[in-house]
Amino acid sequence: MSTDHDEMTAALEEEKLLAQLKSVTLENVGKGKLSLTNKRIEFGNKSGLFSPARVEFSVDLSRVRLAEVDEASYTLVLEWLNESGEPVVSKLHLPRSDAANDLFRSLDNVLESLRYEAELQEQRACYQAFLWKTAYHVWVLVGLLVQIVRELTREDWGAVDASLSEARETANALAVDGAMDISDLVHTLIEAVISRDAPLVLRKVTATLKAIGTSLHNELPPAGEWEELSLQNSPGLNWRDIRYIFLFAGRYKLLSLWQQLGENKRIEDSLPRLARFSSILADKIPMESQLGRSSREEEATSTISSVEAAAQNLENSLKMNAGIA
Amino acid sequence: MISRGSENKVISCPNNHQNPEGSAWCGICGLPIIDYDMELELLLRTLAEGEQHIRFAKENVFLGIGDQGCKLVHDFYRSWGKSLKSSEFLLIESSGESQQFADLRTELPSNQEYTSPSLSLHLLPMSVSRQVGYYGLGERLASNDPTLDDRLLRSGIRASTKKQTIFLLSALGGGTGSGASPYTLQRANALNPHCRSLVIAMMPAAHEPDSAHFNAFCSLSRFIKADQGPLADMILLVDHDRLMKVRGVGSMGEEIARESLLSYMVGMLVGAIGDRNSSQVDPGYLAKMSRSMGIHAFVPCMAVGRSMEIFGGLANILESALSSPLAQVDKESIMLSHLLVQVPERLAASLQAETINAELNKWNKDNFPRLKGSVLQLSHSSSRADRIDLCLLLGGTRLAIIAKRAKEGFERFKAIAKGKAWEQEFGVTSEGVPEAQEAINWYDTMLDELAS
Repeated sequence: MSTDHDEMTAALEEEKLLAQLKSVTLENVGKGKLSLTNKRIEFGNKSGLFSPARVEFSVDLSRVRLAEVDEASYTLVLEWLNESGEPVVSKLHLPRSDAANDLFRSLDNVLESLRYEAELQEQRACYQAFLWKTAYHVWVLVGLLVQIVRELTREDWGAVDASLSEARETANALAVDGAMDISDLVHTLIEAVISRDAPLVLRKVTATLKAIGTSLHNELPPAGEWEELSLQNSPGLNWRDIRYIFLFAGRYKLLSLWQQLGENKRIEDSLPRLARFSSILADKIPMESQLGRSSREEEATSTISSVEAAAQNLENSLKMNAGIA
Repeated sequence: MISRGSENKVISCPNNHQNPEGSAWCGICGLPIIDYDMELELLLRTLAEGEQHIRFAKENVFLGIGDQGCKLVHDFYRSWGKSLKSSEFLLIESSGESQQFADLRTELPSNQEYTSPSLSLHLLPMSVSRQVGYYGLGERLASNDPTLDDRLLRSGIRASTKKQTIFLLSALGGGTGSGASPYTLQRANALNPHCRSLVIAMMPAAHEPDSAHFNAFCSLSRFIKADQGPLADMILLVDHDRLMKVRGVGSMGEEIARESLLSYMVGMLVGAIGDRNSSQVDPGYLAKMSRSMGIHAFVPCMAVGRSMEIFGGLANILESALSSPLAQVDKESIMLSHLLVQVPERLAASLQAETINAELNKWNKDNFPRLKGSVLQLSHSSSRADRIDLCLLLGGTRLAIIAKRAKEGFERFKAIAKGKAWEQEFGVTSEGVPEAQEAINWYDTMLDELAS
């Protein structure tokens, strides 16, 4: 999928001369040549015909804070930050010509593009933070919900209460940091736990997991400013990837339950699935997965210990990227 | 992640590359292609199938309340209860008097350990006083415990369990046993309106002070008449002094007496002693029938380990049981008789249900002129001896007779308990005393009406 943004980004990658104008006067310095590329604006002059050109300023356009054009007097006021971060102001008088008009236009366009790109970068960073946090909270929440089921099999209501309390906090965090509000479902789960009716609790846990899974499938993050980003195949984590984190978390956390119950058939069924999810996630997230990436020729096989190692790496990676201490 | 175009169906890989539907791997990036909907569905179904591992319907819940009640349940748990399926054991004691269970607590499963059936201890929190002593205080203690409901729920007493029998064992002379027991049963009934209940109530010994008899009488009044009728389906009243005198013989020839006899009786009630596969024992049915007939107070009569060769027949063993009832009984007033019989396998052929029923009916007719109903529940034991165990539960006698000593103690003590200071200190209101009397009178009058 190609977008205007992609083309523009590609165009900015190589430095390319956009406009050049001679007989430009830099106030308090004298006449010289003003060059504009897609990356910088530069003024140079010569003291004599055979003397070498001297660069008075060469400013990276990303450092330009202000470029004000007076079309009546063909004056350009440039303000930028020097390497020490101090503001520097230069006033340039351009000869009246079409070339000067072209330079003004090009400068305006390129600065606008840079501003857009900077905004986009910022949005991308925010969006990534949002995705990592969502992914981490989903990972934790799925783990806690499955843990509740494990504790139900031991009728350990004290442990269920403790896990539920953590799950409620994580669900709150998911609503605040992420894009998913499942507080109503968690509330009904709490009511079920208070009733100490284990089958009812299991049904509520399943309903909560279904809501998370469906939400990850059907809904894109609601924030308007991220709508465009969420549709792009941008580098980094994608909304789509959280689905695999969800599936991996669910299957992985259930493994210990099946082990506890001696359900070997379910373990055998889960391991190749976990290997597939892991290979997808390893493509996106630095997991140092020992499961490896399964090729089409290879049947995904794994051992529980390597799944555990992959899960631990995934959890660490999610935690780190989500900025959770 | 399947997209359906106008003609060809495609499926997206995790990197959003489109592949023909049915592809297992992406032709571009090589990543596996996952059908998310299907995987989600499978995951949820797998989880939901775990329900078979979390169905802990407790058919029998044993509650021991107060010092003696806890000891009785603990004894039963150790003797017979451990092997009972679908059962839970909960001991409820006031925290100030819990020191006696220090050794017991060491046997309780830790939070991490899962044992089935499980035995646990719940301490009713005490704020100031470290002695309960009186009925009113025990009731106050239980009703002020905000965690009691949850503890009962955790023991499996909940409305989702349709077939459930609660066995509440308690000595009614003490404060916790007499006061907390009716309140606890009331909460259990509220948490599971479907449950059936049998209270095994130990009445105080003759030498105990009037306050103990007062406690027992008040407690009994609560069991027999609450806001919506009797709290307990069946109350098996056991006089402490009579219990001390009755003796039975176990399958190995050992003596069964005192508290062990009560433990044995509970074992017979739930079919814990005989062969469970052939047992017809259903305490819930006995409770249901008793409530339906409006007869709630019963006197147990035990004959344990009676040799058929020596006694010569079932009627003589029934006579033996009737000769030593565990509380005072008036034969003329008996309207309902439940008989639990445990027959060794070797006598099973000669003592089949029909034979026993015929003999029982004849014996009943000879002994109980006002009998309106009789239930026989037969079970078999693997014992090689010819010894028969028999537990007769006789209902219809007025409480004024069964609990005569408690009533007398109550009469003597009530003048003290009516005082204002008593209400503040010991939690029995001035209205509570006549109410207790009225409740017992109400039940006895109801029996009189039923008999006529």
